[in-house]
Amino acid sequence: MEILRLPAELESLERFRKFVTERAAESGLDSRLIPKIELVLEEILTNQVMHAYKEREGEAEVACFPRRDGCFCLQLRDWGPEFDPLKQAAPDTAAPLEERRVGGLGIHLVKNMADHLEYRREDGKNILTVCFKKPAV
Amino acid sequence: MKLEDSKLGNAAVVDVSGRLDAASAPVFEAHCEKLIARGETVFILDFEDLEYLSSAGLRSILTVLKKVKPSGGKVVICGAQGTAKEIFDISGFSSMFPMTDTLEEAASNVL
Repeated sequence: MEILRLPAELESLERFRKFVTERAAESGLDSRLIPKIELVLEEILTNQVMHAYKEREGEAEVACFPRRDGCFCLQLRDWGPEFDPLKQAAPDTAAPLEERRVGGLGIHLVKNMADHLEYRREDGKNILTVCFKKPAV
Repeated sequence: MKLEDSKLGNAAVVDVSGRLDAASAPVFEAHCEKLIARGETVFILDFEDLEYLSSAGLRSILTVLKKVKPSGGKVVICGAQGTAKEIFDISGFSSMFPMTDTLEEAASNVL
């Protein structure tokens, strides 16, 4: 499992992105999946910066690993207060413009793009595992 | 991200190419606000060469619509494809914004 740990800030996104897309390419993942993986990474990291650390300094860690069934998985960890992004209320995507709020939209996209999502709190860490199936040929 | 402006009838066309993400969304938003300050109310966002879109990008597009709506303005999304198109669909934006394949269709939508 390859791991990259960087300060949890927006400026780290580019390095995390490069790390993950390179690992994904190495694993022979279908290139059509790359934008989806990038999206999941950005949404979770911006969430961590905003919710987990709330402007305070902290670190985020991203690990990439293949699963036995051929899935490509990411694991995102932070040391902020307990926060389960999967428990956020889904946004009302049918609400009219005036009532439209964009909070929660990122996680809504994540849930739609990933094939498997799992959150757990362990040793003071928030751990989110996200897996992508290789598309059927 | 690269932004290019042009006019089509009374509409301001903003050609957005590259990545509309957490890093570039504030730049895109500030660019559109400048056009709004100049009196533009009708926008065609040309996303044909958009390679990547995230919720930060969606948020900035929604902000533009909210700013022009009170003065009878409109925002048309044009040329979105691939994952970007999928994201507009999943987020419900496809039902909130007119979506067109070509600039010609977008123009006929706003005239």
